[in-house]
Amino acid sequence: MRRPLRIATTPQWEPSVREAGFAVYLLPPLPTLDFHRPLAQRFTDGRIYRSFLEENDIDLVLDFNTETMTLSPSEEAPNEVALTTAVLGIPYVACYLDPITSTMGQVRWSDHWQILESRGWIKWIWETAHAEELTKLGVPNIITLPMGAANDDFDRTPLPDPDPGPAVAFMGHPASGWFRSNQSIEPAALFCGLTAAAVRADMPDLPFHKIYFDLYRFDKLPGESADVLARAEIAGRYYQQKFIYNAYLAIKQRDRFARFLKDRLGDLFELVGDHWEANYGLPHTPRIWDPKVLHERMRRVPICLNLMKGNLETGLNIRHFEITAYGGFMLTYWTPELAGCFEMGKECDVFHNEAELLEKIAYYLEHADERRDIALAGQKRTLSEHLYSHRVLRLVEMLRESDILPRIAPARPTPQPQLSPAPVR
Amino acid sequence: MRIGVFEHGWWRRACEALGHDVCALPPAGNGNPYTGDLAARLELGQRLLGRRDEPVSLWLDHGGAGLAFTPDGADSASLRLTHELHGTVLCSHLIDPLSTTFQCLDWRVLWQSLRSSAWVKLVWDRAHATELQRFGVPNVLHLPMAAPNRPYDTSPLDRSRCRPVVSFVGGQNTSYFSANGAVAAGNLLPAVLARSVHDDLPGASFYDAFYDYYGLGEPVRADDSIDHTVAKVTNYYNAKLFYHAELCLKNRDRFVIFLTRRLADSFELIGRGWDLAYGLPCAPQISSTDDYFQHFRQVAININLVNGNAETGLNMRHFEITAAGGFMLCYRQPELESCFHVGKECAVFENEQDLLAKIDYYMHHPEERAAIALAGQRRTLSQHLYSHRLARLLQTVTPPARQVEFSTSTWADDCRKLVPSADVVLDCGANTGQMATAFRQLYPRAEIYCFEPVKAVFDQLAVNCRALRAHPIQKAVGDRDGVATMHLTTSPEANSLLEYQQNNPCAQWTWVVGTEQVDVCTLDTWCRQNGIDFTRVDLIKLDVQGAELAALFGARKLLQFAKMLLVEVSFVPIYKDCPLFPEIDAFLKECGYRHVALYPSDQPQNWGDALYARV
Repeated sequence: MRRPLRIATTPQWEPSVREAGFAVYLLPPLPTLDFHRPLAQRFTDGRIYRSFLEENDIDLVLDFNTETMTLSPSEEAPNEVALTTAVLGIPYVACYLDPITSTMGQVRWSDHWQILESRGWIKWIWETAHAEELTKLGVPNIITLPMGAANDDFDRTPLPDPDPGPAVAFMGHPASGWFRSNQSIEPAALFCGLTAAAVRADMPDLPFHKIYFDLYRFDKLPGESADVLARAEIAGRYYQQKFIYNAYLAIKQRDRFARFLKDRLGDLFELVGDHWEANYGLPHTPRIWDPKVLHERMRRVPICLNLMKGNLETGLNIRHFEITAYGGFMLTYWTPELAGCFEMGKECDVFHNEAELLEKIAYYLEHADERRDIALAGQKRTLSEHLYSHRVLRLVEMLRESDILPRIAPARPTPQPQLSPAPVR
Repeated sequence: MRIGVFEHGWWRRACEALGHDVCALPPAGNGNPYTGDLAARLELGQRLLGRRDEPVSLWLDHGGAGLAFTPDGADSASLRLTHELHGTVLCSHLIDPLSTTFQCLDWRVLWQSLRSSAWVKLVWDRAHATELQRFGVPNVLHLPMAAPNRPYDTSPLDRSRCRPVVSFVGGQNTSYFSANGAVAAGNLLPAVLARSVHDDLPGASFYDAFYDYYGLGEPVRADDSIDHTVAKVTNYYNAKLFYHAELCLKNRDRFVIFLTRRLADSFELIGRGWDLAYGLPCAPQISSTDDYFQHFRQVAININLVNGNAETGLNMRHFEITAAGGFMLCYRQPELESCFHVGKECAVFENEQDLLAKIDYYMHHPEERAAIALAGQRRTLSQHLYSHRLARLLQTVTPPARQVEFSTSTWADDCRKLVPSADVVLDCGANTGQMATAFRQLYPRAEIYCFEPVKAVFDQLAVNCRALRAHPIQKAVGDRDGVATMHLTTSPEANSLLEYQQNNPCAQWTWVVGTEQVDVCTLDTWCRQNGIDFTRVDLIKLDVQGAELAALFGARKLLQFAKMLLVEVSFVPIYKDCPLFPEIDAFLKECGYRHVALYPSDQPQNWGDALYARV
């Protein structure tokens, strides 16, 4: 009889990996898990992990945002370093919650890009647009899997009567502080981003990389023959041009609606998060750090608003799954991949603009039963398909299909989500 | 009529085409009106007062070239508007933004002048016209651009003389993205917000986003001092500067860049500035007017792209290309369908992929291209010449013979004043939803029911209603429930339950092409059957081509409650036995409505829209 797959990970992943039926091994503590830390620190960390991974005969390391990525001397080239996991022949999967350009802040861009091109690192990307973008830029081993809700002890009872107070709440920070900063920009640097924004207005499903490389040919694609530094340079230019586009999306998808609702609804709308006052002069309540309190708040407010940040082009953010998992009623701004995860109007509802947002709020405040039914159906969907345990199961399946992991069965069968992954190289 | 024209070719020819005498007047600014500073306009004032003995009905200019000042008596610092002293109405055709048109004039002087009721501001873009009206500027008239009156070749396109190329004629108009220096990120926010709103609600203007949605400034109020007004509008137009640049990129530059890269030599780019701004090869402007108009007939496809100062309106090229008989493929603009029948008189594209697909399609369908070009030419020559615009202007600024008085306000503003927030709107004769779009903008929360009986038109309406969140109903409205014959015409907006009156004034461009059996209902029955509480109906719009009175008969119960009616009224019999304005006016007054205003149409001599409110 084969032993269950051994997955080394962080406490964040533990319940989901366990629920998926795999053996969990918590990685030993490091001085810091800051994903911006320099490579030298990651090299020091490599010694701690190497012995742990060897001693426990780990099959897979699972991570968020490269927090636990460490380096060790390469066995093939003594003067070079490699991922510790790669040295040991263990697949390393990091689920990117934040944009690529927001991680490894203290690492030189060319080094960052070289690590990204490492085949020993499987990049779990949560939206199709970003997954395609990285593939187009020449990054290997991309897996597309949506975000999910972390496994927890969920309250599955119908929604309680709402608390007195705000009728609508949004939990999150402003998506962009750039427009309120003292920064300035050369007008020419706005050109690509605004062209892409113009195209997106006419073709909402078209991601930036297709506009930049395919439609407008603003730059050449990083060729197979080019060296890694040349590819890093093209990718660097690409992300610089994308910055304005992301800032535009930040306003379009999140900040504008927060401003609009605060202006229209006043105290009936609660902004739970930081920086709203500093960025836009909007009154808000502070971020809720205790997850239990946050999740209960999602259930207690009649309408839980979901607004995406500027780094989201086609996918769903973690709030889509959190709000529904904890049984809240979610009213969200439309995004292209939403219909792939939820039935709109049955498991959540959407709005497309300010006028519709106000209408839907008015409607759902008058139809509490419908709100409860939708919240319950949304919860059912997320708990059966969109927990991180489902994602881990699917991930392992994909790794097995690609022969990255041995083809052995999981410890116990669990319902499988229907997803269309990007091919693993 | 004798009209004083400040030396502008197309208005002079329009006057002549209508048989009016032209009195040539000297423009401010030595031929370029935009260079007319205060000194030049004071000098002009002196010259105009010297011609006080030449009686004219009105002054007509291009670009505000006729705005002149005269010192007020002994106080040289105090100015009077010369046209007011002259006792004449000044009509200025403003085709560029105010900041460009009056770039040499102090804004305090300008905004004080704009308050003159004897100055009619002709604005070609509906969003701009509304913007000025909402800033409290009186006598703003939305008047689309047009083609100049001149001889046009009206023969069918000769395929053998048509080069298989796609052509765009126009200059590169924004230097924003090639300007030196840096812009502060914070200054970009209003335009980015407005742009986001516009992307999701294409009917929303910058004004809507700036004031109504986001409260980015304090609106101008009637009792604001001139200094307050200037401070507010300066703040507004400064914020709008980047929006114009964004729109220029969205509406024009991006497609020029795209086509140059995709079509290479099959794309002809004629105009200044493209090489400097983007390194694109371009040919110089066509210098001869004859060659210019001939060019549109000599290429397979004429692309038309508006520039960044167009929010909703059409540019002059829409009318020039079609007047010349060229085939026009243009980017969709909100006002397009009020001037052209899309797909029949011109073609539109929605994005880059659609543009390539349409180019490919029309390159392979030369006969369809020629038919569209011919229909477009017929439409423009019959409705969109400057003489047509002048006729409409004269209807507005001079008392018409039939003693109807048009309002210079807009129906939307008047409706907003009467009913700030509507619950239910019934749009009868909805066509493809043109008015429903305006209703949605006016009343974001209203339930809008759109009645359109003709299947082909209804199918398009149903698609458009999805975006508008309106309810399409495939029925005509009348005085009884049942089935009736609809007379289909070459212009779907002219389809009618009544037969066409022979030799009516529209017969030259619209005629009956068939019939269709359609369902008819009375509004009273329909509301009852569909659970519409009569007291919730705030606005009934009737545009049913001569069947207005029948529709009103079928809504007698509803007329006891409905707050407002917007009714298209005819001044001449276009359909057999159709009621004319006085008959409808009398009926509605009997039903307890008061006449609020009459708004001119594109053919103000033939019909208009009348607004009524419950007493």
